[in-house]
Amino acid sequence: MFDSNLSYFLMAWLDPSLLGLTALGTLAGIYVGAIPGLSVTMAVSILISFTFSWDVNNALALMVGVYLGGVYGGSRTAILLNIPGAPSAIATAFDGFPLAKQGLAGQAIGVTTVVSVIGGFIGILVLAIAAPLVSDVALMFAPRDYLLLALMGLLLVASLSGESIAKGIFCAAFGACIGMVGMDPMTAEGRFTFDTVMLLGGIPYVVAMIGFFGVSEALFQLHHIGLKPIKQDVSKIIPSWSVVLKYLPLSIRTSFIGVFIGALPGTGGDIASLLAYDHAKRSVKNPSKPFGEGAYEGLVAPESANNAAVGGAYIPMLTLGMPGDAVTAVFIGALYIHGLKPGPMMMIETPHLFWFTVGNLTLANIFLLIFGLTGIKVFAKMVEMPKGLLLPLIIILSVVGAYAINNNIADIFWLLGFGVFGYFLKMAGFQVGPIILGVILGPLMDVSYRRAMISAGDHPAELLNDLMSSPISLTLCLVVTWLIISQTPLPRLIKARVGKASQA
Amino acid sequence: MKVTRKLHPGEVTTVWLLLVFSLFVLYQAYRITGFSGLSSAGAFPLAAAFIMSATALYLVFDNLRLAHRQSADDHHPAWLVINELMPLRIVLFTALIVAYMLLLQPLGFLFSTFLFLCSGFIYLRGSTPLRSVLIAAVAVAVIYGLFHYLFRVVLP
Repeated sequence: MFDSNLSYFLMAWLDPSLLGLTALGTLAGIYVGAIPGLSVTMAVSILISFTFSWDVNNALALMVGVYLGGVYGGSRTAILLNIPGAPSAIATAFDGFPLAKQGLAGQAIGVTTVVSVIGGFIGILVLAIAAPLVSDVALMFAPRDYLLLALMGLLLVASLSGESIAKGIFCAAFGACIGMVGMDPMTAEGRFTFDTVMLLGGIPYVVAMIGFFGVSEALFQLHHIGLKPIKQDVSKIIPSWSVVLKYLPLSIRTSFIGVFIGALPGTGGDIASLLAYDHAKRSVKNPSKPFGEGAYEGLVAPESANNAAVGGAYIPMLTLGMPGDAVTAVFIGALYIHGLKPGPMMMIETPHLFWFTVGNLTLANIFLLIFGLTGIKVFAKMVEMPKGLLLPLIIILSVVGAYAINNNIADIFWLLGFGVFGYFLKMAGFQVGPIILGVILGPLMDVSYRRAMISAGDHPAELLNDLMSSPISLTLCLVVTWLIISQTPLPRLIKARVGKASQA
Repeated sequence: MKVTRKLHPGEVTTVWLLLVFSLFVLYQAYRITGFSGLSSAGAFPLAAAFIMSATALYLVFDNLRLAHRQSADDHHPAWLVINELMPLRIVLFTALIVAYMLLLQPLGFLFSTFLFLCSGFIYLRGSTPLRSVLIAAVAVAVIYGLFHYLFRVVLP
């Protein structure tokens, strides 16, 4: 057992083509994460369509690299341009950009790279230990438990919806409706098909993803085509041992915060990095500079946490099929395309895949260290690529990607439709992330809800009874309730009330 | 959430349209199986469409409240809003994309992509016209090589 797992773990290390693809993916990910206008979500969704005819291992090696590299790459533009390349790099900009303004961008990038790698390793370690355990428990889940899990996943809407929760909920419900189009998997009735044959097969959700994340983003960015990045001196970046050792304890602490937050369904790297930043701010008494003015601590904390969150996010993704953020939602789509079903059965049906992924993540993390500390000169040039060149290229990649899924020219027009619709939604302050969440989780909720309802004989009271009498369902119910309450202002009110009472 | 949100240009109209759209989706969801049972094919779509309609309705009222509070000089005439939502650059670029999609099959992938990239680069002033043509040629070659040989994707 252990031997075979180890051989799966080392698979990507020993096969030259897998090794090469992981390296390529990581390098590409760093650039994708760093170039403003390209996002990891966009890249992974386009990549799905290019790699779906590949061998699963090759495709996963490339995408894992892009994901890990991209999460890290987002910090680069946060530091250099004050534009977080990804939501998880928002906290990085707080202290990273002030450092860049002081001409210390090179140092900042160096420290960021090292702590990102440390965080990444801790995340992977926890993934390797915890995922098999979680999966064992998840095997005992009934359909009603999946319904609860999907609900938990939908709570991510709160952190993805931007300025207004109502807009997020609208988008998630709309996404669920997109996911419903086509033949009902249980009764073969047509849903939202307008009695046409074309819609009976459903809307290819990868096309929707590329449309919302690729085309609509490109159109949206036409508004800010004139922005010019600032030049930076990045000649010296490799940090000294003493610097690394100094920040190691903080990095490890915040990494654990990152894994934990990443592993909760519904929260991802963005929340992890903000919480880690907050933790650093409260726990570090004498930072190198005041927070917000270029404290290295303010850089170490979020960057350790967001890379650790990658490992954490893989736990619910692989064992439960629940996304932790927009990228993992897209990633789950990728696994489906390759005929894999992320969930508790995956560890039993394809155990090699789990250890292969763990090995692959470890490898990508090592490449991250190598690429993160080299090739900065070329990097600085690439980041300055004018949008006038970038945006037409995004369109071409999106079109090729949408076509590649089914070799169907009609999909290209769907792509444009979703792109234009997404553009208007964005202009009105809606976020497209929740739509994808709805597309992925909607069909799952539909099927698990109906199975649960059928097994309860169509009686809501019976279903409620089932939920309360099974220990697993009851625990999940309590967790969902707690998560919902923790997202309302209620806990803060209670805390304030209690605080006042204890002072009095 | 409610304190700092400001109306985006054209948001009121967009949300109204979304409400109409949601009600249409709701009607379509009702048409699947009606209210025939809690575990029927139409139950979940109906719930999702209902949530869409309810949030859209809430947003319509929320926008009314916000518009009421915004000062008079914050109200823009319609042509300004349309200009903000659909500047000429975006309309023309979208038209360019549509033209590209339509020409994709008659002209073939290589030639139409080259044309699209050239006109896109030049129009968005990514580079000087001569260099744009050069970059477009290189980009088409790279994209074709990468996707045809490495990814083995069937190109349109």
